[in-house]
Amino acid sequence: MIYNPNVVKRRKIRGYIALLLSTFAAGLGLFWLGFILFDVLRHGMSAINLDLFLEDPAPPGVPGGGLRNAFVGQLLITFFATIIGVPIGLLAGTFIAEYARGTRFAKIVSILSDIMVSVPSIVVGTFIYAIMVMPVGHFNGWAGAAALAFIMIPVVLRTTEDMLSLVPWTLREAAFALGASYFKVIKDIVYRAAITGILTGVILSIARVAGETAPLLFTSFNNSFFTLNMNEPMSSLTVTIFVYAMGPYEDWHEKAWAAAFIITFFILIVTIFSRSIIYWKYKSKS
Amino acid sequence: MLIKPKLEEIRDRLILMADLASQMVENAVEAIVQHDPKYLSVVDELEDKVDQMEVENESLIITTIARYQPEAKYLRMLVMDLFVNRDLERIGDHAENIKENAERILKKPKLKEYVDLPIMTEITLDMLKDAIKSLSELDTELARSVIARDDKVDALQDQIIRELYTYMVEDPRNIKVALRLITVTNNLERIADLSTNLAEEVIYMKEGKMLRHQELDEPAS
Amino acid sequence: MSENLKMQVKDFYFYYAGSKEPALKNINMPVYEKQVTALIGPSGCGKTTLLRSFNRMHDLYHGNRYKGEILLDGENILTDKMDLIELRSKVGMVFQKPTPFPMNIFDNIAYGLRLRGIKNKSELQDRVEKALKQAALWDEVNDRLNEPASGLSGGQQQRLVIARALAVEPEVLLFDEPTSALDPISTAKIEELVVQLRETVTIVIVTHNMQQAARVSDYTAFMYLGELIEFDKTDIIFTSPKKELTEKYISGKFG
Repeated sequence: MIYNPNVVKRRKIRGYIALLLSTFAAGLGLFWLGFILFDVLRHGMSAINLDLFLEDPAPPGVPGGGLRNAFVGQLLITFFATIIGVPIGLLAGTFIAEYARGTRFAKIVSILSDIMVSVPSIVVGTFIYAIMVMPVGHFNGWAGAAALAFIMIPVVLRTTEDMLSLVPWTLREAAFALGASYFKVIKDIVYRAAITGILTGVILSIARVAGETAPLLFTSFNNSFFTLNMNEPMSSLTVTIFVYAMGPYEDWHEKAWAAAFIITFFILIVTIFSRSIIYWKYKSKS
Repeated sequence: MLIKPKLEEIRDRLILMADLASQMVENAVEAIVQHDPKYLSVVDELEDKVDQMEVENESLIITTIARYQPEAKYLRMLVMDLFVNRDLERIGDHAENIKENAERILKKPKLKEYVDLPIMTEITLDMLKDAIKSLSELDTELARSVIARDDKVDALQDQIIRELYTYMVEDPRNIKVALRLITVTNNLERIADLSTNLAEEVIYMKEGKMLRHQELDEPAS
Repeated sequence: MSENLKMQVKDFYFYYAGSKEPALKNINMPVYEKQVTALIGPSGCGKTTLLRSFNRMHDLYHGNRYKGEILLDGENILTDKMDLIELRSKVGMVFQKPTPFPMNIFDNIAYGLRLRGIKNKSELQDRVEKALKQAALWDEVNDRLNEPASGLSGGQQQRLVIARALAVEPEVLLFDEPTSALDPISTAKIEELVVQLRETVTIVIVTHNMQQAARVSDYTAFMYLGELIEFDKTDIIFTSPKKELTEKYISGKFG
């Protein structure tokens, strides 16, 4: 038997050191996350009340009021961004993963999608500004939705493509052997098999764009008043935070903290939720 | 188990074959005892059938071994089935032999009222029937009882030969028939031996113990 | 035993996409009705390629070419006129790895039926029950038909897949190494099932385990490097094959 106790001892010590370092690093990360949440909450605590959600902003300098228009605006813009972005991303992802699998065209689309993802979000904003704000003559909610959709599409496309590729080819063959057409195979079998992954991708893309500010700056801009009309400029939480934080009023600062906390909290919840879907699904599988 | 139906098929065929061989012996000897040739024609037909079955069975058994890769118990059974098949065919041959001798014997007048010959035949045929029964039910106790009876048959044969000596000494004209009768008892004795072999093969199939060329042992508990 | 000809392969060649050399050369072979025909041979001999030609699975991939004829009940299935969905109604397939669809057990079996427009609930229930009984799975799952199929064991999943294929009442059932992913007991169950099924369906089975072919099939085709070396009754192939190459393979000298 070849066994050197000194070598083993040294290896064990190195192991412990590595364990210590990684635990410390994890702790550090968690600490800052907790600190951010706590700090944001601390600052915005005073402003979190029912009025925040139910009242529109008061005139500058006048205390009170709420951010109802920003919440509603954020919801509307995100909602329409999802309606535009997710189907496009889904269908495009399906196309390159199924019908155009392996072709050069699929590779090109894949590369373009990667480029789309890495475009700085402010550039996305200016691009949409040029094509949707200037011709119309004023900022509008549709442009905001379009800008967010632009960011969502490549995320959903990539997730869809990846998830569909994970579905084993033999599963498709089995459906073909029963006499199904390609369309039915995708609809009944492949989508079903990949649904969890795709859903997670969609949810994560929503969480991603819910926190974007730059794309909305030049597109939906801001609106101090409550509106449901997408053709008008629309306020959003993120832009509001930006505006209020830069403003001179203490009351505004508090509201900005509150809004920041709510967004962060929302994204955290959504991420945890999507994770638990995966966990729940795979737990029940075994 | 895919092999089971095949094993049953082979077993059924062997039982049928044994039945036919048994009938052959019965009829051949009856012709002598009754001094009546009508029993002899049956023997020829049965002989052809038995020979044909032997060839078919062998092919069937070999194919079954090739196709089903049997192990342990099933392998023993199939290999023993091959031996049983061969032994049964030989019994048929001996019966045919008896028949040929019977034809010659019947040309002369009946020598005597045969007493020991039917008894010897009956014991031999019982041995054969029991051997086959022990095969179909894998009854090793019955098989052992068959082996035990072999000595009786040998003793009977000695007795018959001694009696026939007196007939030959008494009148030389009896010699031809007497000699043929002795040949018949030889064949019967061989048939009893072969039945004993069958019984030993059954014990091997069931217990894995080979008793050939051995004295009878204590039964496995 | 006079047997009817269910399928006939005539002067059949097959080329994979982009390949000048044929993967299958000059195959001539009968497939008898309600008998089990096994395709055996070393890896790469073309047995799976031949099997997948029987239901034209190769059509899924662009560029594969057929030459020659494969007749099903006298009709050539390789023509452009042949409706693939109709063909796959007559010729079903079971794959190596059990592939239950991501649905519950009932929906799995009913899938092929619904594809063909059968909607009536009680009819579906009857047919699903019949198929599961034929596949010797009914007793084990009849109380949990609406549970996900992925919860079954490997052997059960494979029987599920067989039931799924049987539900649409095919005339021919193709098995592509159906037991190589299963444990010995499940394998034995599937082998017994195959032998039973031949009373209703014509079966062609590809297996790399030649003992399995010996146990299960009535006819065996031995293939090597894309050619059919010998085709005969299984009894003969395994006791006295006519070609030396066959004899070598059977006695384990290669492959």
